Amino acid sequence: MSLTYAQAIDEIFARFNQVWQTETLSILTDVPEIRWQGVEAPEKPPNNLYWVRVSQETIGEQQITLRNPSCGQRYRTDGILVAQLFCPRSDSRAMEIGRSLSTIAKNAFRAYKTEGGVWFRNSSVSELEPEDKWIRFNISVLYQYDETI
Amino acid sequence: MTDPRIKLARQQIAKKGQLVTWRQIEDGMPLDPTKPWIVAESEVLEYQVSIVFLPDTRFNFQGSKFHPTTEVPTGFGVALMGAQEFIPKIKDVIIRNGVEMVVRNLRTLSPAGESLLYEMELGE
Repeated sequence: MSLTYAQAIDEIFARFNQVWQTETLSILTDVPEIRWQGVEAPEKPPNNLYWVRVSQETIGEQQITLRNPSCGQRYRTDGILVAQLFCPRSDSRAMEIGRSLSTIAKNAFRAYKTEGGVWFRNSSVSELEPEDKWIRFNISVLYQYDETI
Repeated sequence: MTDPRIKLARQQIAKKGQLVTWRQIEDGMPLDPTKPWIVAESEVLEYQVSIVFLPDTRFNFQGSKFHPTTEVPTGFGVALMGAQEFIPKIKDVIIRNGVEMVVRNLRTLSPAGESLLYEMELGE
């Protein structure tokens, strides 16, 4: 299987989006807003709502095969997906709900491989220092895919 | 009622400021609802506005410097702009003498809820 840089990001983000849109409704009445990397929003989300910002970063790319005249050569990309979860401090259940939302995001990438061949490992949740308005969680997962050129 | 000092500032900006182009950049909407991270091409609107450009400090040490860890010259200053028909955003840019400047910080003075004056830190 081979994926380009853009195709891989599409598949990773699509997985997060699909799980978030369907499973968070079991915890909250509205799906918490997702802010996507690179897409500007006119306003900061309201202080009383849960929201998440999703971004990815490539860690490294390396050539893993010699050139084969019939199928080219293969490159392997490693990267990290980070979902920054913001839970309003004005909600007394923010910590509990934050843990549940984090678990949904974390489990979205456990025992899962995309159709194009992105696979994931070390999906984890970390609790950050609370901010003035939000209790924060970071969900991170390492991903890997191959590209043949 | 508008504070007379604000009114004076707005008059001074209009009188002594430089006429420049304010380019407002509106991100496009998602092309595919299942891929909200991919948006359409931005819409760009341009306005002619009067802005007063000032040094950042009395000594203006920051007016010209190297971009961090490079040898590329850069700089920044402070600018004042009165209320406009549009709402300025951080993503907007200013074209002054053909040079595009970014808005690094934007402070809105709106004592009674109505925006009267914008104070900005600009970067080249």
